[in-house]
Amino acid sequence: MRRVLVAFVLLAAVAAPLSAQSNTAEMLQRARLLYEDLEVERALVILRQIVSPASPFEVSREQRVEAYKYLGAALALQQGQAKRDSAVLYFRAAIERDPFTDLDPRSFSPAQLEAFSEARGRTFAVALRPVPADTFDPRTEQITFRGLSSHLASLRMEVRLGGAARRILHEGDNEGLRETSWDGLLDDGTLAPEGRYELAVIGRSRLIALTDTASLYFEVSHDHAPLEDTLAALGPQDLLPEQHPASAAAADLLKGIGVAATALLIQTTLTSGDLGRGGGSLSGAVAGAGVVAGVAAFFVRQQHRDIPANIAENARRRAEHDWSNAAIRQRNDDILRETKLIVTPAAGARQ
Amino acid sequence: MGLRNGASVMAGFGLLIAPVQVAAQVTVSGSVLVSQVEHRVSAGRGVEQTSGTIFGGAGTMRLASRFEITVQGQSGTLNADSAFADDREEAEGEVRVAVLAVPWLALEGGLSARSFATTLARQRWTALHLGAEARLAFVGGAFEGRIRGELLPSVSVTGLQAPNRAVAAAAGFEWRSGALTAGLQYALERYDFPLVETVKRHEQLSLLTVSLGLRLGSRD
Repeated sequence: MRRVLVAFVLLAAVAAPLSAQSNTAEMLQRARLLYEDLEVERALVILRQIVSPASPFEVSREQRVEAYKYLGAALALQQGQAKRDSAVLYFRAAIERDPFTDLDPRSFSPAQLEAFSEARGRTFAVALRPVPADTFDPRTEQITFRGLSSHLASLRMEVRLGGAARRILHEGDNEGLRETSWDGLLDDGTLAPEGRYELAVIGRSRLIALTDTASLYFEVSHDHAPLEDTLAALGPQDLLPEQHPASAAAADLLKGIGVAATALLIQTTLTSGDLGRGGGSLSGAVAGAGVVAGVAAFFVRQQHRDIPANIAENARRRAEHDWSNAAIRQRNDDILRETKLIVTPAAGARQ
Repeated sequence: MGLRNGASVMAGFGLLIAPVQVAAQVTVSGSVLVSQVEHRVSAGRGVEQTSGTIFGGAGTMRLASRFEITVQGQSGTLNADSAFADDREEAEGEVRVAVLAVPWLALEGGLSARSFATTLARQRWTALHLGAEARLAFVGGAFEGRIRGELLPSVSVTGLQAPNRAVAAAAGFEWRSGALTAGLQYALERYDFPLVETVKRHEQLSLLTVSLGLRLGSRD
């Protein structure tokens, strides 16, 4: 019974200030105002409530970083080494959670800045700013990526595709913010194909034996005028037969014999019986020539089935087809050369 | 049927072919012709037969692969081969127009004139020809077999009534190699005249023609 009573009293005591502070944002705002009015102790109470695991409100990462920053700043204003050490610890907590955390020299005192600097020196982290959505022409424009190492470090920023580095944007010593530009090309000079890319930063501290990495993802798509389809491959229906069919030899034989037979038929049926027919030797000459021509044609056709005119025509059609496709590819290449890259942030990040 | 009627038929034929579009494709060919001629006539005195070799030439202009005009002429002496026959000079000329309805079939029409001259008289023939010629290409077009059939609906002969049946037919080959052309053709013309005073006249002309020529212009 006594325990229940104590709990009730404690809850009532905590509930009183919370009733006036409906959420974390309002608490943070009130703490800042108190800090600016130099009511540091009261500000510290509220800031500690915010970062406390027992906070009744949801606290975002940004709010927690802000609370740690002001905790550090408030404690840095107070006298004593213990307060200063605590200030450094809170600054470190802020930097660990958001390496981009910084103090504006116009708003904070040298003592605060000094403590913050010490915190930076003892904390190592790398980070990346979110990739901005952008559309740019790789021939003339670039997109800027922003990374950071909390203190002097060996830093490498790279663009990865399919898990492999395809373009190294920076490699060397760095301290603080690093802006680097990407022209949309890969290391081999080709335009970045459409896909999901990873922007990664890897840092190794020059001050302490620590390594950190961070990465985030973005999508690259291409923006260009519609491309023309190339012509389909020439099919049998588009080409002329290049060889006579096997039956052509027999057909030629029949043609020769047909002409021969017709000559004989004319002489035997159209001539007048009253005139004694006649002309047999004349028609016989043509009939003989017809048989010879037919037989000769039969053997020539069997041995030479190619149709040179059709072969030449097909070659012309193939060349024209290839030329048309080459022209289409050339026009498509011209269009692709004017491709713009559309960069959009994608889900997934590792900080 | 008189020559006037024949001319009307020719005019109609001309209207038929008029829509053919004449393109820039023009082929011109010229040939030397040598013909062995056998002429037979039966006019109540048995069969009179003459034969001989006549010479001449032909020129053909082909337009747009479909339209042809051929002009040819030949002349020579036919010698008597029978008792009642006389030697005679033969001269003939012909203008022929052809339209290739399809690549292997030409519709043809033409006018021909022929004269037979002996020491006693000269007989003149004129005839209208209407017919068709099948052209059977083989050996890849190097050879062309030709079979022609014609009706002669209008024939006039000096001193005679017009025949009541006149037909002509031919079969032969033409060979082409580059600009060179050569041909061999057997042709027959048969004329059956009406009965006059119990005599029925028949005439028949058989020709074996060898041609050798040149062909210039675009190739079909």
